[in-house]
Amino acid sequence: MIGIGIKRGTAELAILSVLEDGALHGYEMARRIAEQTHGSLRFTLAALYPTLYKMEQRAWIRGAWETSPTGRRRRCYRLTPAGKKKLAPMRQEWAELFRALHRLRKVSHG
Amino acid sequence: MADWEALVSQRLGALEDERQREEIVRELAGHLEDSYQEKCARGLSKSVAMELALAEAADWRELTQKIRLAKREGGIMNYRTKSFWLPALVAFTASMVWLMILQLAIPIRLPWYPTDHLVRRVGLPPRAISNTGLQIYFLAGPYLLWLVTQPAFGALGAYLSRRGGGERRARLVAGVFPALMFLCALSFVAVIAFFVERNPFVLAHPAYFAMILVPWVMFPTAALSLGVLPFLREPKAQGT
Repeated sequence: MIGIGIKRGTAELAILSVLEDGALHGYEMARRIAEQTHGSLRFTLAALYPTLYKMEQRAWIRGAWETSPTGRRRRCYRLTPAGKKKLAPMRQEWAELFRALHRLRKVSHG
Repeated sequence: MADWEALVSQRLGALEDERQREEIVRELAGHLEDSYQEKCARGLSKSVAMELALAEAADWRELTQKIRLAKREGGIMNYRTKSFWLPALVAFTASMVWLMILQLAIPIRLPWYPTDHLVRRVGLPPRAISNTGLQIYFLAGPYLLWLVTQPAFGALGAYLSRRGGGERRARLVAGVFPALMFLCALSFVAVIAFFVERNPFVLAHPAYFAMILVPWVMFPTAALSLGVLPFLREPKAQGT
């Protein structure tokens, strides 16, 4: 399980990534992130919604109330063009970080 | 069955906007209800499922504070301002300033501009052209120049809207906003002329009045739309 400090940094990338496939409501988003990371990243309500609202204020995502086939009203979020644009450099930054950490591990083991 | 909205409402602190708080309460309640139902489906007892669902937000005061900060991050500019109003007003202002510059650069005093002076300026023989014809001739220059440059203003509005996270519709409307403002202004004048002032000329020639829409609304809408078109495409997400 990934610690809270690292998890906080990955939240935005995780949210943008799951929204890339289409609109999702908060609970489904958290469920998919947990599923796709095999449980390594789990976002509780307290961790997820402040991040979602912050990202909405930055216009990376947009929330709108939608009615599900079961009749329940849910706030679904989708990527905005600004969010889509943000995703690629964010992925690159994380990939760069992982490469740097990998090199660091090699050096310390060498 | 638990009233999740009441449970969340009791726990969540005050937010600056009461309507916004109601929406957040509804959204968080939905999340907790989903979490509870999933735990029940996994075979947990109702009381344990409820306890675990509520444990998703152990510290409601901290959560309220985080939500308050997150909502404040956008500052005075909310999503609609950034994605629509600001781009639309920038496009409109730029288009109007450009029209003003053209009118100042090409001096016309219609319809009081003395015809013989116009004749002297362009070297036409007197009475070679009617007063109205000359007026149209001199108006056509700045107008056509203004019209052919409208795609740039449409593009400006749509680009700013896209940068602010605007959806396709917001980008389109922000781009053609200068023409929409003309439509609003002409509609307002029409209402005053027809129903308040009862202007005899306008009442006698409603078609003339309607024809103003062609050069000042329809043509600009088409020109602005040309500039908007490239910005209606969604930017491609380049994944790794």
